[in-house]
Amino acid sequence: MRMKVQMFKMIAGTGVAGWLFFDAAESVSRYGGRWWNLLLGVVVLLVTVGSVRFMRGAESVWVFLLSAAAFFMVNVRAAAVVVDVFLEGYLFVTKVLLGIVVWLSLLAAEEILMGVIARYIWPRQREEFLDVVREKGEMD
Amino acid sequence: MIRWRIIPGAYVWLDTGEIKSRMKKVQINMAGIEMNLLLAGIMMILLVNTRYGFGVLSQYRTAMLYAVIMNIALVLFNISFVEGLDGEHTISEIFGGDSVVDAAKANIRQMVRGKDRRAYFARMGINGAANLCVSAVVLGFQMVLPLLIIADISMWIGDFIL
Repeated sequence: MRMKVQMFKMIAGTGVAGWLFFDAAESVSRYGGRWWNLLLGVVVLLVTVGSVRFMRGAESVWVFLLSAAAFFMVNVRAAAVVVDVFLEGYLFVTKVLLGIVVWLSLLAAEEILMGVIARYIWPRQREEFLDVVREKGEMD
Repeated sequence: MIRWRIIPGAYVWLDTGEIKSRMKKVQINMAGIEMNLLLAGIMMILLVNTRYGFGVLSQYRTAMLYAVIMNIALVLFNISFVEGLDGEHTISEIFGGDSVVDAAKANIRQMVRGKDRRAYFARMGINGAANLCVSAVVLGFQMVLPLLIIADISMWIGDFIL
């Protein structure tokens, strides 16, 4: 039961953050407003990671994962806009391929930003993501 | 060179072993990207201010436009988590210091054998699933370079077709 509640918190938090990011991006592109939803989305995401019990000690990994999900639609929209504006007259294949590259690059920038914020808030973590490679290194 | 789509570049090997602070290492790794963004910004300001043909700089507007495009393209490429680039070094520092690409490969390799898989999840719990998803995303980023090459080839083909 407790696990279900934690999972619900995680999904709800990510969904709300994703909606806030998308709303911020849409409103900026159309009316030049509601940019504060971006900051609010970041806060919601960090509060979600901080409040879910099973994420304790592995915050960087979860921030990485949840921000990838929350920023998904914004990045797709931004990549579509970039492709439409800058790649007019190119082949469809080129547009799709460069759209994926732009999408991945935007995701990387967001992940780094969120990762730095997460490390400032939670400087001590278990770093389990690197455990396997570290053990292998010790064995070698 | 730019006309023939050859981008001049250089690689700097950084030894950050002596630096203890994680955030300082992140700053060092991001310095190149920040410089590219700064150059692109300066060039954009110059482009806008020389629009009506004022000053000596107005005859270099095409060069400025190329500089903006080049710098932004370099930022987009450099910030991705492709092994050896600044983005990968930065996210590795954020995650704890060792290469995230090596860690992602090692985590995925745990799923091959049933015994390893069970031991992995028994030790990590639900965080193991998160580690695997992150590993998949990080390994997905290794497609950026092949995608760029294929996109470049498709541009060349497009030049002939369109």
